[in-house]
Amino acid sequence: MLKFIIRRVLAMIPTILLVIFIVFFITNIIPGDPGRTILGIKGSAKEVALINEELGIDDPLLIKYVNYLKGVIVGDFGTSYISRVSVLDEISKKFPETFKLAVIATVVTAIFAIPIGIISATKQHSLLDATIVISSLGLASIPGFWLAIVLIMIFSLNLGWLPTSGIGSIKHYILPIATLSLPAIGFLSRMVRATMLEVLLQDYIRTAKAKGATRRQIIFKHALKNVLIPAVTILGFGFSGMLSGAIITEMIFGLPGIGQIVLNAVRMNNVPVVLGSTILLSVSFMLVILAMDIIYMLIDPRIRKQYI
Amino acid sequence: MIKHKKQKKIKTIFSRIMANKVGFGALLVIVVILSFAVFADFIVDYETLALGQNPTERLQEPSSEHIFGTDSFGRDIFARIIHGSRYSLTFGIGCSLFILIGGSLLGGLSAYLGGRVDDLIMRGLDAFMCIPSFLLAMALISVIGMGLYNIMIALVITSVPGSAKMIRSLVLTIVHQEYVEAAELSGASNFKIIVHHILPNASGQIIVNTTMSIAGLIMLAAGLGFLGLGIQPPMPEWGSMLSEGIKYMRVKPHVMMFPGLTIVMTALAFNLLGDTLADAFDPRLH
Repeated sequence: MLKFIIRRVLAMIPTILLVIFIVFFITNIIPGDPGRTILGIKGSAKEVALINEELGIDDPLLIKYVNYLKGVIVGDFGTSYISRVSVLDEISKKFPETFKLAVIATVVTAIFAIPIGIISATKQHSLLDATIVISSLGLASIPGFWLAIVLIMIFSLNLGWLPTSGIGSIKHYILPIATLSLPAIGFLSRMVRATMLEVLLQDYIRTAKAKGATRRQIIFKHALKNVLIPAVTILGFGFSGMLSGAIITEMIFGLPGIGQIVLNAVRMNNVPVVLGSTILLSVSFMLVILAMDIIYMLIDPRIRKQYI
Repeated sequence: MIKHKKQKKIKTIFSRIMANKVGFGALLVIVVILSFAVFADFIVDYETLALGQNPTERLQEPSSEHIFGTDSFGRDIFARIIHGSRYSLTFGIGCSLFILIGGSLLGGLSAYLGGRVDDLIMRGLDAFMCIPSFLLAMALISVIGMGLYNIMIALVITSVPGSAKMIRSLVLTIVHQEYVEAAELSGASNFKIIVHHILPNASGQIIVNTTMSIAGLIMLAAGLGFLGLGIQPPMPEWGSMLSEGIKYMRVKPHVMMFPGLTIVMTALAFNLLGDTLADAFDPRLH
């Protein structure tokens, strides 16, 4: 068990290096003019050139990457061009909020989508099933940012039930979580339905039926377990989308988190902040996948056998 | 003979789509939007209606003159949506084709070469897919700048890894089928196996995935536009039109409602078509 975890963590290291390289490469394809970004229009050409020189703008990409890595190892993700504060300080305090939002939305998605998908599959060809199939595809076709605004219009402006933005109570989180979860529920419930239909065709289900198991027993005892694992996998890999979604949702609902910081950094071409937050989000996603793998190993004897 | 069989297969699939009311409706919506994009200039004038500002007519409710009303600059929202379809469909259909080409090359190569090269490519793609793709697209655009081609580059680069992995696993499943082994044993060349066995059997899944990816790309592009990272105003792009409308959502909700509904309808149409296609290619699954 411990051996498995250690091996998985070690295997993450090259992937993290690769992730950092990809993000670094993409944000440094064009050298840019950080001196100008830092000093603004007031800075003289000479000062701008001096700062660019100091930041090693003209160094080869690989050398810049190695220098950046050296910093990352000791926890130095560079300094924001705009606020001149250390990137890690700027994002690490607010990052847990974003992570929390994405986790809660994922859990809410699972709570709704899995039962809906299973009900839909067990009642195949019924009116209920058809309604679920069409509306889940409809939900999956709504862009999150528009959904957020429509929810605000309905529940905040017209009905006055929920606040439009800000923090303070649980009520403030209902709409943001609905914004993140609804499209995901549409997507996941379709997947669960398809998996369930496939599982119900398997031989072991037929055997169970032949042995006289009731429909309830078949669904809960034999089929459910085999539906849960693919569902959790989809949720795990969807977590990266949840993180992106959380950033935009935070911006729309004025929630604390790194959303506003990242968006401003992207707009101002504040490369160190964009780079640092993208790496942080990617690594947190990898840790979620790692946690998922460990849980699998705990619950699925077939997977456990491969490692022990 | 094979050609005849192929035509017959296409005919069956087409007739299955036509028999499905939902699929037919989706196809109809797509044809309408496509013809809007192609004939936009004949439907409504670009310069005067979609771009021309008219302060005396600003923020008008839908009427017979402006069926979707006007925006805060007095521009006709219907005209802007019609012309905006060009951007959205370019992003959706154009990018999905490039993604398909890139994904097939990378995924096919990886599956074909196997061994160490395959491991290496897979490692790279796995790392790529750990990065939240929307964030990566945003980061890329912040560096290379906005504009039609740059946005397309960002969307294609961030989507190719997923497509490559899908195509690789698809190819590997087919390669290990008995009929491919039989063809190999009977001395068929690699080229012949690819053309006669792998392509026809992979095409269904690939067409379905590509159709559904169009919906996703249209939403992604609109999301970039919404954040001000897409096609810049005053050009009519659905996402940026929507974000301009937010300021007036209390008093004139139609300004953001119509672009939003258009995005949802278009995405839904492509998703429904993909769903119908999946059933048509493989009726067992439904």
